[in-house]
Amino acid sequence: MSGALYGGDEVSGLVFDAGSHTFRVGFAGEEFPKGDIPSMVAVQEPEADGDIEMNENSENSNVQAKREKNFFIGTTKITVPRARTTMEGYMKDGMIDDWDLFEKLVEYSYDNVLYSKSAEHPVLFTESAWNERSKREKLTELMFEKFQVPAYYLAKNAVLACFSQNRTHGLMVDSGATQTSVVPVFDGYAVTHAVVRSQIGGDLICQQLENMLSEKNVEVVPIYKIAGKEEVEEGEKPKWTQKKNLPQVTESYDKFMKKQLLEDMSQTILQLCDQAIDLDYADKLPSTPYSFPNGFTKEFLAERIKLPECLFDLKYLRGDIKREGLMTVAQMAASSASLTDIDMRPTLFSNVTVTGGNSLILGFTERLNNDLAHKCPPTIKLRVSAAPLTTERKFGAWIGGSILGSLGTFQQMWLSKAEFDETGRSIVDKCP
Amino acid sequence: MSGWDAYITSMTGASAAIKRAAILGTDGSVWARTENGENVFKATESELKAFAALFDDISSVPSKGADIENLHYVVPRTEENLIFGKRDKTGFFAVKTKSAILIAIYEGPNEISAQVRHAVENVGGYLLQAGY
Repeated sequence: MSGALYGGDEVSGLVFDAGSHTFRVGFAGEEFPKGDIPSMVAVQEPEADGDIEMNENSENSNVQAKREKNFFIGTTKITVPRARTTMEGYMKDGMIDDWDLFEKLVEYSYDNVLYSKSAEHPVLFTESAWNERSKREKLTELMFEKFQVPAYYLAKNAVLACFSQNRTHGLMVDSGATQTSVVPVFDGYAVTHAVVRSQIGGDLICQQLENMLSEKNVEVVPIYKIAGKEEVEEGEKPKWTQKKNLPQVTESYDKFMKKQLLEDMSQTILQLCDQAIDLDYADKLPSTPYSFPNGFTKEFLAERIKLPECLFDLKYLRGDIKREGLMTVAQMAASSASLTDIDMRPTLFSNVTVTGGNSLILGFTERLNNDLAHKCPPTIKLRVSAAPLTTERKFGAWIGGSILGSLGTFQQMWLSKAEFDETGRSIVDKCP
Repeated sequence: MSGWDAYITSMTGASAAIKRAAILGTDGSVWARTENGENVFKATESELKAFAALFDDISSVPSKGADIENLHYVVPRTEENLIFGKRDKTGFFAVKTKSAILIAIYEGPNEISAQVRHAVENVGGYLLQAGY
């Protein structure tokens, strides 16, 4: 069954964790991923005609033949304002959607982050618990045939996040950028039939933040437009100068840069109440100031707590967002557990684990604990835990992959290239 | 029916982790089972009838689990014509062919399960080819 037994110490496996916000890559056995590449790629259309020689060819290593599109990957490159450049993501709904873009990201990782040849290292990939069969097979085929990897394994990110917390059981609540999902993991297996997910996550919070700011008439000016600014008092109209000679950027780039600013803002000021929100409490909350890149500063009071409340109470969702199909985090956790075998439930409830970048909002874990306690039967022992470090939450699945990939007992589980050549892409079914 | 015993032996031979195995008809009747010493496949007819019926509504199986030999197994995974059950350090794979159901109960850590699954699916494949 296990074709080749890899001596765990000699050949270092690679771990790739594809997410909607960032793409994490690194070496198995290490504590953190080497690369945390943003999942948005800047795609530049070629010049309409003539004068191609004027393009800055020396700028980066990803320049294709001159008539083709240019791809810019990595934080330092995608934030540069360029003409005719749109920002494209490769993931949709937690699964890989744009395979060409994904391939470019993998190539970039091998060349610019890992400095390794794909044919020399076994790779461990992550996937969502609801990944489609055709996509799993496609990924397997891509890695073996295009990248010629010697060995490969596909693991569910929920299971890996569980491992990273030193557990093999758990109700994994993963709150990320595009969505929040709850996956029960029992004894190292994801119970795929009981997965519950909802399109609420970091991106929704950013959108709510944008709505709130426009209601307060605060202009969100992304950093690339600003040439200089002057110091003003809190609340005063900002005084800043626009950069000259900016290229004609696309709306998608502008939106992306605004989102960067909103993300930073939400990470700084937002907080969650540890019980259902009480307006008096909200008004008495100490305010937090935020300085915008254009020099404008403002103190934020009750909004800080009202905004992320939509994760736990849909009534706080503002704007025209369709509410059908959306559930609050606590509802999702409760319904996922109810879909599982009744014998599993006590284990799951005493091991509820919170992971994902969006869960870093202050007060998330406590609030979930509180809300779930109301929903569960009183006899059940409920324990909600979360990794303490920011990096452990964002990279939970990656860290689990790193642990798994370096285990001695795992080395017999890799799918080898020989097996792939013999059986074809359906060999991925061997990965539970 | 010595013919069916050969399939049992090929399953137990393929993976040392398989402790007990049986082949049933889709009505729950036993065609062959492991019999040596304490490795007797203990399940009763009525239990197996209920088990066979699980394949008719496979998507509801994970929420209920499955019972074999009076022990309850949690079912983390099902696929078309395949049920995988777990209980602590043991588990089972059940594969359904056209008119038969193969069950193999194994003991061992999670990594062994791929081997066991492969063994059961292989024998299932032979049976399908033979028309069963």
